[in-house]
Amino acid sequence: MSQRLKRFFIVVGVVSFVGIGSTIAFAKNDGSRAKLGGNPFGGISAVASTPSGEKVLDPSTASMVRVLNARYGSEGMPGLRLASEARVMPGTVNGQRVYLIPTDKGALCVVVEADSEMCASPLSATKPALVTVETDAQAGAAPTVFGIAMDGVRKISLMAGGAPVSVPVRQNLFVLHGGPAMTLKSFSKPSVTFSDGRTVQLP
Amino acid sequence: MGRLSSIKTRIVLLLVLVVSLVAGFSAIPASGALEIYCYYCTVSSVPAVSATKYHYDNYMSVDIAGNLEIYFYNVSTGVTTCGKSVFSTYSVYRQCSNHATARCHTFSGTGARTAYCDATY
Repeated sequence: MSQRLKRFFIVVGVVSFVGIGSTIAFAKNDGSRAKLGGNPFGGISAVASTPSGEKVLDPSTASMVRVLNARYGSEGMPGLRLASEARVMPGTVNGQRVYLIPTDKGALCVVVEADSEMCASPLSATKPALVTVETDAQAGAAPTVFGIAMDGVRKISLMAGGAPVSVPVRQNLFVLHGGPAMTLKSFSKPSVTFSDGRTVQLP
Repeated sequence: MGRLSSIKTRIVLLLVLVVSLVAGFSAIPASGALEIYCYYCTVSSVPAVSATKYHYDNYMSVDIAGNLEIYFYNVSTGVTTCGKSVFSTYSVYRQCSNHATARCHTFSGTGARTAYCDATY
């Protein structure tokens, strides 16, 4: 064997070992780092005693979270998604599971099975709900308004297509299907109503 | 070096190479390249706009929470697809595919924000 060929195999060997190591590190990157204080699931009793960990995520969502962590890392908000602390909500949105995943910067992400994600500060008295509107004209589906609300919130109210609409909250989750002609701009900023009658306008 | 020249060593090294290549490819997401169409640019109700491509997803983040909106807009047909708006959040992401421009902006009173937006294609 020539010296050149020997050198080639040595380089290939070293590069391969480094490649395997970094690949495994990338694949296992679930953002398991030190968290900032506070309980990100505080006020969400629907997930208080549910199992947690990456094992609760379906494979597509687990892959999506890994890709997002690899893409954005811990720089800036919302920070690394801590898949090792993921929890699954009891209900679904359009048949898709909804997961809650905290981040290493103290944010809370609401992740829809292999579809979407939003990350915000955890629920609080001044911001007792996280609300999103999704549309897809290509799929021909009507818009969906959904989100999570903290314990004690009875309903979410907003204007949909110019008409007032209220959505009941069940097990900290709410879902509203809009009309087929509605777009993202058909919905106003929501407000929440607690069981005791208090109303909070979302910021 | 005498051992290195043996067939056994060469086979082992080649196996290691094959395993690392397979592992590497399996870790790459299905979609390809990333287009950063707003690198800490200022967005408001006027959106940041990507080039027209076949996109697979869309992402937006800000350091100060606000009302954020991402969507695909086909300039030729005027059709909006894959939209997602969120209230008072740091980031929003949606996985869906279409041939269009990817866009991101703030809405509903949030005003101007320094944002980061990208989409894979």
